[in-house]
Amino acid sequence: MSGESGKGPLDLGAAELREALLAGEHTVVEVVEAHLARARERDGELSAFQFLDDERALARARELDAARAAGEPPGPLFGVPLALKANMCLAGVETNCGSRVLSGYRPPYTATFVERALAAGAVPLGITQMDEFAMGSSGENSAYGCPRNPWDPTRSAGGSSSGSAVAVAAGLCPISLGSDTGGSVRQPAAFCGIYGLKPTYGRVSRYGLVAFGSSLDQVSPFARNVRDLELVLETISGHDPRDSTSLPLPPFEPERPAELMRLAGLRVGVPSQYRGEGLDAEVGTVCDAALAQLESMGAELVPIELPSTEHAIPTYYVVATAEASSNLARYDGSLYGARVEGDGSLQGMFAATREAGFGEEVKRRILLGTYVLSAGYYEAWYGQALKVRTLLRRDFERAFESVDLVAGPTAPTGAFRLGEKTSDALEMYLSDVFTVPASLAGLPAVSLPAGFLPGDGGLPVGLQLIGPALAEARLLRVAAAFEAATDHHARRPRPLEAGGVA
Amino acid sequence: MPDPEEDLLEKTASLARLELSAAEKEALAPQFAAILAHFQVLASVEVEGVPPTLGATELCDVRRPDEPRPSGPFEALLDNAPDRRGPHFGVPRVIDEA
Repeated sequence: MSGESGKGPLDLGAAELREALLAGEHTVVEVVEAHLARARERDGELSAFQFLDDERALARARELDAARAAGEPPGPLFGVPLALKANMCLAGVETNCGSRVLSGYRPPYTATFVERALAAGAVPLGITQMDEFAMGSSGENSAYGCPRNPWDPTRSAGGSSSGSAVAVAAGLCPISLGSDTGGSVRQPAAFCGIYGLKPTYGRVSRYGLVAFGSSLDQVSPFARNVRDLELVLETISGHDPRDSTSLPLPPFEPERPAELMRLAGLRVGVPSQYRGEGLDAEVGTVCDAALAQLESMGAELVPIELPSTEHAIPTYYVVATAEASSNLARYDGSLYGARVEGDGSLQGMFAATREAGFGEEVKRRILLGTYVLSAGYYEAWYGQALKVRTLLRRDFERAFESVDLVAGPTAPTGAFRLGEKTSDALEMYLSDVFTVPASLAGLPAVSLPAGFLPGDGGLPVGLQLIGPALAEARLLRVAAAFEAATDHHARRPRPLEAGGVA
Repeated sequence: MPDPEEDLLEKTASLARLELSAAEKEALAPQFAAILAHFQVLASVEVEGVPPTLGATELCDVRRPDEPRPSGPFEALLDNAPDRRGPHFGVPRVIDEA
C-alpha cells in the first residue's frame, strides 16, 4: 500500500499522512490498521506500549472516514495515529502511571489536551510505557515493563516518557505525547534520535495529566520532523479554564519565515556550564559540529555564563520531590486503585496500600519530599531551594538580554545501558543536569537530532535549544532550519532482529 | 545501637504513611543519607534578599465565577472504588464500637 509519493503510510509524518488521506491515497482505517499491525509486529521486542487499543482506534478510524465521506471538514490531525503516555486521562481507558497503586484505574473524564487532539482528528492507538509516576530517566522504574532503545535494544530509551519516544522512533506512530517535568521528553527524544518539545510552563493545560511536580509538569510532543511538532503544539495549546496554571493565551502559532535556512542576526548563547565535567567528549564533539552548522547558516555563537547551573540538580530534586510527596499523598487505597487491607485499621490500610503499591524510586522520592517539607527542615531545604530556583531563573533572564536562545547538549551521554545506573539513584539524578534548568525556569526547550556518536554503534545525540518564555516559534524556526540543512533526523534505526533481545 | 540514618528514614516514612520492610530500610537508609549529603550544597548558596519562586508563571489567585454546575459522573467515580457500598466508598471503621 503506497501512494503517489512512493511512500507507504508507515513512512509518513503526521502532516504528510493527513495530506495523503485528503488526497484519497488511503483511508483512515487502512492507515490505522497498518500502524497497529506494525506495532504488533515490533512491540514484542521494543515494549513501547502498555497496551494497544485496536477496538477503540478502529472505531474512531471508521467514524473519521464516515465524517470525511459526509463532507465534514477534516481537522489538523485528521486520521493521524497517536500514542499517549500512561499518565494521560482518556475516559474509560486504564491510566495506571506505570504504578501498581493505580492498577485498573479508569478515569471518568478525558484530559483537555487529549480532547483537543481527538477533536483535531487524531486516533489514539494505545497507551505507552513510562517510569512510575514519571519518576525516572531510563524507563526502568515501571511495574509493567521497560521499553528498549530501537537503536540498540540493550540500551535505555531514556525516560520517563520512554514508550512514547520509542513508538515514534521505531515508526509505530508518527507522533506521540509525553510529559516533561525535568527532561522526561527531551532526554528520551535525544536517546531515540527524534524531536521532543517541552513547551513554556502553562502553554498546555495539565487538566487530566496525573500530577508529579505541579510547578514543573508540561505535556510535550514527540515527532520525527519539526512541522509535526508545531502541528501538535498548535492543537493542544491554549487557555483552559479547568487548569488554574494555564496561561490565558490563544493556541500557539508557528512562524513561517520566507527564507527557512537563513539565520543571520540570530544570537545563540553557548553556556560554559553545559560543556564541563560529566559531558561525554564525543557528545560534546557532535554538539560542537551542530553549533558550527548553525553558525554556517548565519547565527552568531555567543559564550555565556549560567552560574547557578551547578545547583540545578539539588534544587530540582528538592522542589520536584516535595511536590511529588504532596501529590502522591492521595494514593491511599480509599477511592481508587489497588487497596491492601493491612492490619484492619484505616491508617494500616493507607500504609499497607502504599507499601505494596509504590515501587522503589517512587518511595525514595516520596521520602525525600516528605523530609524536605517536614517541620524543622522546611526552611533549610524546601524554602532554600525555592530561592535558588529564583537564581536559576535570573541566570536565564540575564542571558536572554544578549542572546535569542541558549544551546547545548540535551543529555551528557548517549543512551546508557539498561541496568547501568539502577543501583545508584544519585548517579541517575545527575544525568538530568542539562534538562532541569529550563524546567525550573518554566522555559520552552526542544531536543533535536544533532548527529550520531562515532562509537557505541552510532547512537543518536540530541541538541537542546532553550528559549525565553513563549518563544517556541523561534526555537522551532531554528530547529526547522537545522532540519533542512542536515539529514540526522531522516536516519532511522534498523528494525531489530527478531529474538535478538536477551 | 540505633542507626541514626535508619531512625531518620523511619520517622520520615511514618510521616509519609509508608510501611517499609526491613530490607527496604537497609537499602534506602544509606542512599537517603548520601543524596541529602550531596544536596547539602544548597545551604551554602547566598540567597540574602532573594525571593522564592513559588510557581513557574506570574499567574496568581486564578478564580472562576462562582456559578453552580454539574459535578463529576458519580457512577464512573464509584466504579473505581476498591470497596463500593451502594453510593458510598467503604473504608475500615475509624471509630471504635462502644
